[in-house]
Amino acid sequence: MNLVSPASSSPLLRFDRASKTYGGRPALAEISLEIAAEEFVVFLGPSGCGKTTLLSLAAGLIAPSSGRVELAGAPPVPGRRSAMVFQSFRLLAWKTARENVAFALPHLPAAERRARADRYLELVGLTRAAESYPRALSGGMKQRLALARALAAEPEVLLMDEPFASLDAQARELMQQEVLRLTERRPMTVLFVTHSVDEALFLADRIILLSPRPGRVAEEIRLPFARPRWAEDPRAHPEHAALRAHLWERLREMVLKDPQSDFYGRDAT
Amino acid sequence: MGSPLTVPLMRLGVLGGLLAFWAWAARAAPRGIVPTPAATWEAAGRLWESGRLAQALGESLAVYGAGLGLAAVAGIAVGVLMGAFRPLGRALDVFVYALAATPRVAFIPLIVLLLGLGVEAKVFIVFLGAVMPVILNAYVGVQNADPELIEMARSTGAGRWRIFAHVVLPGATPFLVVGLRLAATIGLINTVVAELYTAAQGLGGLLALYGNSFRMAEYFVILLTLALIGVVVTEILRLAEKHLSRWRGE
Repeated sequence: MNLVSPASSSPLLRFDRASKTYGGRPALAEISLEIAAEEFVVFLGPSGCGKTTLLSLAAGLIAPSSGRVELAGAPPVPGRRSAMVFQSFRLLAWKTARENVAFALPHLPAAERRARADRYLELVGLTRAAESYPRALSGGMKQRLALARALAAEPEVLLMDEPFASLDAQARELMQQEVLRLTERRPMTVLFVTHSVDEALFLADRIILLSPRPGRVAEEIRLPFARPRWAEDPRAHPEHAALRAHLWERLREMVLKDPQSDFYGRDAT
Repeated sequence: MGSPLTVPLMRLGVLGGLLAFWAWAARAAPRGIVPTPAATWEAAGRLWESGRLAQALGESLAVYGAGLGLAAVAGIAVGVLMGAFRPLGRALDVFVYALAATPRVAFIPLIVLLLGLGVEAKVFIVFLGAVMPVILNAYVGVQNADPELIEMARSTGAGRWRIFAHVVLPGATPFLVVGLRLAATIGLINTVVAELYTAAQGLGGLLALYGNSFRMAEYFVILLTLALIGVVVTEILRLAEKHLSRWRGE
C-alpha cells in the first residue's frame, strides 16, 4: 500500500484538461487526471474511447491538441522515463531476443547492455531463447520478450496498451500474474489499457472508466483489494462481484449508446 | 528424394544433357557454325595461354564492377532518400519510372558524344542500366517500413538515425537484394552492349571480333565465359541474401 504524504503530494503524471483531435475529430476531450508514483492504474473502456491516444500522450509520442500532460513536472519525452508494451508485440524480426532487449538500451556501453539484457531475459524466463529470432517464439514468449524490453529500460512509468489481448486465455492469466510479480519486485507506475473487466479488477489499484467518442473520464474507482494480489485472490473479496457487475453494466450501456458500435441500439430489455 | 546430393546430381545430369545436345548440334549444323565441345575447349586453352582471354576478362570485369558498384551506392542512396522523404519521392518517382521504362541503349549515342568511346562511357552505360532497379527497389523497401515498429522505436527514445539503421534499413533489405540482383543481370548485359557499341574492348569486343570473322570456337569460349560470370555473380548475391535474411529461417 502506497501512502502518499501530503508534503510530496505532487503527482508523477498529470493530465490537465488534455484534449487530442485527429483531423478535426476529437479522440480525447479534456482529460484531467493525477497519477501518483508507483500506482497501478487501469484504463477500461470500449472501442473508440481514446485509450491508446491517452497512452501515446503519456509516452510523449504525441502532444495534446490543447491542455497539458506532464511527467515529473515536464512534458514527457519518449523513452526518457517511460517504456511501452504494445498488443502486437512489435519485435524486430531481424534481431535475436537478446538484441531486441538491447535495442531499448542504446545509452549503455556494450558489455553492460548485454548484461542488462540477459538479466531481464532471465527475469521473464527467456534465458534459453536469448539467441532465438522472434519467429521461433510462441505468442506468450513474444509478449514476455516485449515486456523484458520495456522493463530493461528500468522506466519509472510502464505504459501497457492492451498487452495481453492477443494471447490465449491461459497465457493471459499467467502474464497478468507475471506483471504483478515484476512490478512488486521493482515498484513502478503502471498505466494499463484493457477491454477486460476481469483483467482490470485483477491488476488495478485504481480503475479509470473511459466513455467513447470523444474519450472522457466516466468514472474512477479505487479498488479495496490488498497487495500483493497473490496474498489474497481479489475474486474471493465480497465486493468483487458487485464491482464486476457495475463495470459491466456501465460498459454495456456505453456500447449500446454508441452509434458507431456494432451493438448500437440492440437493447434486449 | 530429400538427400542433400539430389539437386547437385540432377544439375550434373542437366549439364551432361546440354553437352550431349551441343555435341549433336555441332555435327548436325552446317559446317563452321557450331564448334564441337572439344574444339571449343582447345580454343579456350589457346586464348588463355595467349593472355587475350585474361586481359579481356579483366577489362570487362573492371567496367562491370565499377558500373555496378556505382549503381549500388548511388541507387540505394537515391532510393532511400526518396522513400524517407515522401514529398521528394512523390516528386521524383514519375520521372524515375519514365526513365526506367525507356530502353537505356537509346542513350548510347548521346553518352558517346558526351563521354567519348573510352572506359568512362562504358562504365556510365553499365551504371545507367543497373541503377534503376536499385533505386526503385530501395524506394519501395523504405516506403514499406512498418509504422508500428517505428512507433515502438520512438517509444524507446530512438532518434531518426537509430530508427533508420535498426528498423527501416533491415526491413528494406529483402527489397534491396532483389534490386541488386536485377542490377547485376542488366549490368552484365550493358557491359557487353557498351563494349560492342563504343571502342571494342573486353569480352564484348572479342565477341564481335570472333563473330564477324567466323572463328566460332573462340566465339563460344567468350559466350561461355559471360555465362560463367553471370552464374558466379548470381550465386554470390544469393549467398549474401541468405546471410542477410537468416532471421527469416529456411
